[in-house]
Amino acid sequence: MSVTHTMTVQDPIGLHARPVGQIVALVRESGVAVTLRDSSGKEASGSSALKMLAMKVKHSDTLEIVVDSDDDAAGLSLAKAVEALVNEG
Amino acid sequence: MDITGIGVGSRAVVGDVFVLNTSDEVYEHRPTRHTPAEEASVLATAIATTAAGIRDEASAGDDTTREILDALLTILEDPELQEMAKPYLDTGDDAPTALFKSLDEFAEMMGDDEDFLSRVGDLRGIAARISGWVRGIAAGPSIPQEGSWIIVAEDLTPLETSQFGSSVIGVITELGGPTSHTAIICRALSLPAVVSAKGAMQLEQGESVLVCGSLYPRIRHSPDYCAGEHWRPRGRGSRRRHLRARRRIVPH
Repeated sequence: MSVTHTMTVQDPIGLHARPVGQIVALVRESGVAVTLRDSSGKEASGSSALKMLAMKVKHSDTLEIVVDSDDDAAGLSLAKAVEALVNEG
Repeated sequence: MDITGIGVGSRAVVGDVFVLNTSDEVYEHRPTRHTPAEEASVLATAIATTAAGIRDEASAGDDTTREILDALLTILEDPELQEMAKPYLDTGDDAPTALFKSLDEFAEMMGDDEDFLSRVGDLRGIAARISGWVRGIAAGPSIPQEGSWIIVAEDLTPLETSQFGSSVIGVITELGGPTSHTAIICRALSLPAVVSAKGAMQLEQGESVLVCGSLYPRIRHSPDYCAGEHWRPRGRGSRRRHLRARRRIVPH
C-alpha cells in the first residue's frame, strides 16, 4: 500500500541541495520508502540526494510524493513533511 | 597597485595575508595497483571518516554552515555516487580520482542547473579533503588560531569558512560574487571582504594589506578612508596600521 500526495514546488530555485539533504535525513529516520515523481514520470528515491537533484525540479513544477505505508494518516503526514522541506528548505 | 573587486560589509581592516591554497596533489588523477574492490572499500571508508570529522568540526559552528555542510556531505555519502565511481575504479583509477571523475560526470549531467553548479566547487572542496585522507597529504594549510589574518583564496568552500576563528579578520577571493557562499558567510560573521578580486592570488604570504568592504567604512576603529586620495593615516593607531599595509584591496 502507498500514499500519494501531489504538491507544487514554491521555492524560487526549485529543489536544491539543502532541502535535499534534509529530505534524505527525514526519510532515513522514518525507515519508510519515499519516492518523488515529476509530471514527466521521472522518479527518485527520497533517500538518494543525487537522484533527487538529477530530477532538476524547478519552481512551479508539480511533484508526487509517494510513501510506502499501510497507515494512510502516517504516510500522508510524512509526505507533507517532505513537501514542507521542499518548499521551506 | 590596488586590487579591486566586490566589497562585502561596511568595515575596513589591516592584517597579514594568509593564502589558502589547496595542494595540487589532492586533485591529481592517479592510477592504482589495488583491485577495484579494494579501492571501492577505500572510497567508502574515506567518505565516511571524512564526513564524520567534518560534522564533528562543524558542530560548534553556525547553523547555516552546518546545514550547508550536511547537505553537501549527504550528496557525497549517497551510494549512487559510489556506483558512479565504479566504472572509473574498474579501469584502474584510484579512489580519489574516481570520486573527482564521478563529480565531474554528475556536474555535466546537471548542466544548466545554476544552483547546483554553484555547489560543485564546494563538493570538490570536500572531495579534496577525502583525497588528502586517502593519499596521506594535507589538502591545504590550516589557518593559524593566533594573529590577525586576511584569508586569500581563489574561492572558499563551506568547509574552509567553517574553520574561521577569531584570528580571521578579513577575506579576499579571486572568484565569487555578491551572493556567493563566501560573501554570505562574511556578512554573517561581520568580516570585511572583497570578492571577485582579480589578481588576489598574487598577494604574498604574510604581506600586510588593507581590506575595505566599503570605500567609506562606518566602524570608528576601522581605517577612516579607503577611497582614492582620501586613503591616509588618521590618528596614531590607525597611522601605524596604515603604514604597515603595503596594498589596498578595495571595492570597484
